[in-house]
Amino acid sequence: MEKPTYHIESSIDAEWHFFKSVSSTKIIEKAVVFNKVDEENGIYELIFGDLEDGFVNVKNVSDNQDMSLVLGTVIKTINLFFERNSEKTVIFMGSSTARNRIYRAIISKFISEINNSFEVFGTNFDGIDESFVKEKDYFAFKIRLKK
Amino acid sequence: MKNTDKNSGVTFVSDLKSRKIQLGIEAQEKHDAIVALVERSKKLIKTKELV
Repeated sequence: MEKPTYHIESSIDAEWHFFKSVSSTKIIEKAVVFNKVDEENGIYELIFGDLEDGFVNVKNVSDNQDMSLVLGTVIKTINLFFERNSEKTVIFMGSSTARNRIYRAIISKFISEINNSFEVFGTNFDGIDESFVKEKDYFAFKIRLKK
Repeated sequence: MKNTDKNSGVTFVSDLKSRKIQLGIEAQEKHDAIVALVERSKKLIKTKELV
């Protein structure tokens, strides 16, 4: 079953997405940007953060009591990106060691759900990829559609 | 121009990329780290190919 999400405004190529995180106390504009980092190998960096005065800030802790909804929305943007860019690879990392562990925990939670459609890799500091292992620390993560 | 897609909850906007956005300091640092990582990975692959 599809998870609830916020309404998303997306660019036609699904590289840019904006949505609003809404609580009773504040509204925060969020941005998810798939930014090309390696033309040759079709690798795009996933940048996710709060949009403030035109700047994407990745280190904010919003604490808007809607983490599950925000997470569902970000996952939806990943699906939208791959619908239009099926040959590409997405790479992402946390803005801190702690946040990287959160990403690892999220992937670990969803790995059995996404394993049929996606290949997920952990990348170490030297740039070596391996199939994602739940308990292992990685420098970054890569995801692409299974062929 | 806006176009609500078959994907419910998504509106595709043709001029969305005309919005001016920039990376904040930490986002830029993260971007630089990822670019460096991708370069290390490519060098590693090329070295392997030579062996």
